[in-house]
Amino acid sequence: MRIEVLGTGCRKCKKLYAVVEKVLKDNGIEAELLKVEDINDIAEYGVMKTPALAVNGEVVLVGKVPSADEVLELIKK
Amino acid sequence: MDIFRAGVQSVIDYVTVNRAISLTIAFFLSGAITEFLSQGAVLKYFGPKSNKVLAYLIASVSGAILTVCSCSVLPMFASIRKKGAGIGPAVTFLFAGPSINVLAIVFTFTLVGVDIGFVRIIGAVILSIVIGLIMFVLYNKSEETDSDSKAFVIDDSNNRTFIQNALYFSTLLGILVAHYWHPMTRNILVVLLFIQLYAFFDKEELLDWGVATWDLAKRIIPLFFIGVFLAGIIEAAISQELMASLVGNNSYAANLLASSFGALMYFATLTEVPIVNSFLALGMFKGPASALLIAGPSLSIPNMIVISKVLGIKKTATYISLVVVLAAIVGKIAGILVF
Repeated sequence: MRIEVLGTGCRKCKKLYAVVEKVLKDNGIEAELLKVEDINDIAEYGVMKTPALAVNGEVVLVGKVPSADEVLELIKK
Repeated sequence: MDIFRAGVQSVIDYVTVNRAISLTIAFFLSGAITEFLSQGAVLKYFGPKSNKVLAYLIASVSGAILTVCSCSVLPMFASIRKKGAGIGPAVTFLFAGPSINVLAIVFTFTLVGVDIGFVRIIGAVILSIVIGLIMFVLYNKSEETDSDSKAFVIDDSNNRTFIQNALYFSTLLGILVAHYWHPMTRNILVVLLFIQLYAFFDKEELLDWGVATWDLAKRIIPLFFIGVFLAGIIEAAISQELMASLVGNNSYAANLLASSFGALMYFATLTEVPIVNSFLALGMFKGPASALLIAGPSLSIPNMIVISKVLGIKKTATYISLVVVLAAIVGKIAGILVF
């Protein structure tokens, strides 16, 4: 599984990255966690509002920092 | 040491009860916009198949709704350009967004004055459309796009009807406006607001609203005080003769100097307002002050670098020159007609 956190480096983007990192670790999920920080790459995903989360190349969440439970839910799907 | 004291004094002078209340209302309004206003309802106008006239018009005013947070301006700009309505509306959006968000308008009105406030809003809206159209005419052919209608369909509606939402936002706006002109009306509206909060919202939504408001205030208030502090220092450090000789009149040179300064300087969100206010106190004419306020928030050296990564050097240079020259012309015209 490939998980990408999309964001140009704002505060919320860092928060989202930390939440995802923690969820993966706490649940022992094996996944490749990447940061996408280049604005052109973010636009490629059609994301309007950062931070955003993509799982296996598909955007599943836009514009907010979710709770750990929500992240787990999104990743499981 | 005297200079430091001038900075502190300027902060003390700024904080009046009246201003503190209207800023608090403005923060709650901005919090409500981020939390409850459907961005999907606006973004759909920026899709690849959208009506182009509407796309420009909505791009020129939607900053008030979409860009309370500057971290969404650039992703939206890049997406609208590449996936949606193209370079014209994208540039219009990029330019107008930061100038006309609710907080910027409230700060300008309460601190600098109503006349410059109106020139700032109207100037930014008109200029954004003009610059967007020029960029479209010059560069649309060379653009490589990859349209994707799906990106512009965002379902973020809530369980209130359109009328309920409209009522809620106009009540908030009404409180903000009435606070200065008619305290009695304001009090009635506040009661009305509480009735609506009770009837239309659940507890969790209200909590989210509070958190969103607090997040904004926490980020912006310290920067704003730094701006007010710096403004005090500027007032003590720069002589009136110098200010008057550079920008004390409405010449083309004075307007151009003001708009170039605004474009190159980095103003953290909203600090441009107190700084321009102290320039005015030192004798800057209102025309150049408007030029600075129009060019300032949309451009700065760090943000030029980011924009150039999206647009390339040549298009970015064109964009910057258009902003600087046209903002100076708007300042000049406003100086003749309004002030």
